[in-house]
Amino acid sequence: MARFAGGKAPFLRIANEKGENTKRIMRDFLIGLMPVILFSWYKNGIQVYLDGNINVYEMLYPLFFIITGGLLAYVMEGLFFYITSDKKERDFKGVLRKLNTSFAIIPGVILALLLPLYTPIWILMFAAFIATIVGKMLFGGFGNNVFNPALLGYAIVGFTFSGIVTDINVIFNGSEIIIDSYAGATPLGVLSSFRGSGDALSYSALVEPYGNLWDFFLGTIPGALGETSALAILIGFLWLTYRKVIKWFTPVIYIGTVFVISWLIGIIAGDSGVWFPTYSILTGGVMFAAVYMATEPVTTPTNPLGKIFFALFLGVLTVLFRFVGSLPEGVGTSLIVMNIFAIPIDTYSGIIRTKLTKKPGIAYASILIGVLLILVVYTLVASGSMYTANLSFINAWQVIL
Amino acid sequence: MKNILKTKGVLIVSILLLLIIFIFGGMFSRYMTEQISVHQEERYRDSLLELVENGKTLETFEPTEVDVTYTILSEDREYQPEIIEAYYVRDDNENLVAVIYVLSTFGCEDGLVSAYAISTENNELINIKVISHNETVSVAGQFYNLLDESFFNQFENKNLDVIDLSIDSKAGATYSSRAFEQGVKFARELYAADFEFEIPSLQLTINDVYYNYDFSTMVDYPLIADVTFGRDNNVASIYIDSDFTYQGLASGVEPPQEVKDNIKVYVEDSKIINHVVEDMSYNETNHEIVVKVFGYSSQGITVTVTLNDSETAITNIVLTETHESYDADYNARYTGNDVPAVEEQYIDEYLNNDVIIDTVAAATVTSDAMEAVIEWIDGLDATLNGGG
Repeated sequence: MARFAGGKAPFLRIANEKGENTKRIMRDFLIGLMPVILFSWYKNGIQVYLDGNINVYEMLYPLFFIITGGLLAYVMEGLFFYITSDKKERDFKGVLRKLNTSFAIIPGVILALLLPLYTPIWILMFAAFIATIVGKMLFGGFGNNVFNPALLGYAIVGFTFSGIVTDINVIFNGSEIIIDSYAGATPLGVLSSFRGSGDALSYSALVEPYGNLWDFFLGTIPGALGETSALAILIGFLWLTYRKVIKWFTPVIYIGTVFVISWLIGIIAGDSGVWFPTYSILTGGVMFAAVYMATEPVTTPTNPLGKIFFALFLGVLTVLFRFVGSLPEGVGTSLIVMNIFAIPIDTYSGIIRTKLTKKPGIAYASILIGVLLILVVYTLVASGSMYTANLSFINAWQVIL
Repeated sequence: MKNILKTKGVLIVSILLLLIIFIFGGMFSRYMTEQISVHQEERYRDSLLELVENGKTLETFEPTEVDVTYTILSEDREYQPEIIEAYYVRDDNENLVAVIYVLSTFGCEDGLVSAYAISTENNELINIKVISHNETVSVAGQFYNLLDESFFNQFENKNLDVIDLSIDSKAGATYSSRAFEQGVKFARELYAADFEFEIPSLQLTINDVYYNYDFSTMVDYPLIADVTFGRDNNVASIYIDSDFTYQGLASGVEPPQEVKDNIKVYVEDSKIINHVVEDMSYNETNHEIVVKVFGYSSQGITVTVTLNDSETAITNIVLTETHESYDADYNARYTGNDVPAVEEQYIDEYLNNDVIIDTVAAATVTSDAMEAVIEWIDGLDATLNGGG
């Protein structure tokens, strides 16, 4: 007999017949992160060491950085539990019991995977504090947070210490120092230099300095620890889907949306090749966010239609922020914005599902689809004006809007 | 104690862990950051050694001071390239095989830092390597990005034992091209001072360089150089083109071939004329002379000068075409009107007040080009009617 749980997400596996629960979801989630962790260690540490470019301490550092991120989040959450617990529970047993169901390590690990490798440890500590204490515990702990904790920590550090992080950000690992053509620039950094230049987007400028799109897929390009390898993320995606930790369609729709709109922007900017949308989804944090963040059960809608709308909006906003905004990335900002709208989307999509043919259902569907279309059109028009020379139909649209 | 550990244990352990991470993690993180510059230095030295095939070790040395200046084309003033550092390059047997000068030259901007490797075995420039620069770059492959492999191939195994060390410039990246050429010349001067290498020269003096206003020859031979050459101090007036290359004898003694071949170097070094009006055409029917001069754009500025029917006076000067880019969209320091305000201002002031205006702030390159045009027109006017 089916059993149902109410209340706040995540609750899908609170009590099924096999006794599987949230703990299993989070364990599977950590396993799903392993391909990314191992690849980032290999790329930023082992491979560079084997090439003779760094010493053994430097080789171990990427792993140290990721473990430290997880440990920091774990310790800080433990401290929070200690401070806020009753006197009777202020012992190892009581705190560990709470930590056991809070999955404290995950935001810290994700945070370390998002930040550049050479981020100073004190900034990682600050980010872990924001993620764990501010982003998670002050909202009521696991299951009550509005924002993805790791993303909040990453965003706050990005806003407050961008100078420090960016200064070191130009080099991601020892091997990149010896590649002249990289010159420390990430692919998205190069893309941003096209903004307002009047020059057509070109494969030779965007992709060739890093090899080819296969290198983008494998992840041998500059970027933060966790974001470069689409292959590792894909393996994680297959695992998480197989274990039913995430819904397969959220990442697919999100990535698909980014792909299609980027393709349209590429066409407007004078190049209709599939390379550009492929480049667009393989650069920055699109793939990582799609699998590990857009599917997060607490800060995203719970019903399938809500997830679809969430992924569509997320895709449009990512492209909008990336191509029109002042920052080269766009994934983090769009996710934070969509975290805010997760509950309304969940509510509206629930109404649409149950009253699709009735007035409220039609009204909410019209609102969501209408806003989505407006965002798509605005993104195309605004991107067009920034990335390409004058095209008459784009100019006409700009006049209308 | 046991009670304290039971009640405060979590607090103590947590704080200790945070402290350990802060101190030791911070030290590790700092070590990693410092390693970046270590690797960069390693890579830098390796890249210098890669310039010399059999080079194994680098040894810094203090080069001999030389007093040579070059013209900054983008600012029309003199400067001496800066010596950043210099290295002896030795092979496996500790024999000196090459020397590397790391110099900073001035292209569009200051700070075009390059390494110039010279073989001490055969006095050749082995190759150069760009270390850093502030030149104008373009993702669409314009400006500095025009300097492709074919440009840099010119520096490979370049014999220094010649008078003419000039490099073929890339249109659209002229200032950067010239900065590299100046770097090579300056490296040779340093090398000559350090290794008693004798820079080849001719007994040739450039007495004057001026425009040719003879309608029958001006299009083919826009410039005339008055020169003195040889042990007998022979004099001649010779036609040269806008690239200062020998075109023919105007008057005097026919110079020997080596003078003809190297006149360009001597005219350039004389610095009598830096900005040249070129691509000239003359229409006898309409009495129109069309001249072109190059400012910032590789497409140049075209000006049409109309003469009266008897070709004794200038009746009009019109800006025909310009592709300059100095206005507010391009240069925030420029406060004047949009292109072609500077070009028109030069022409209007000369036409109406017979004045060649001063350089317009933040439009220096265009101003220099227009000044060259107006000076050429002023010279033409003086030739036609004695300056009236």
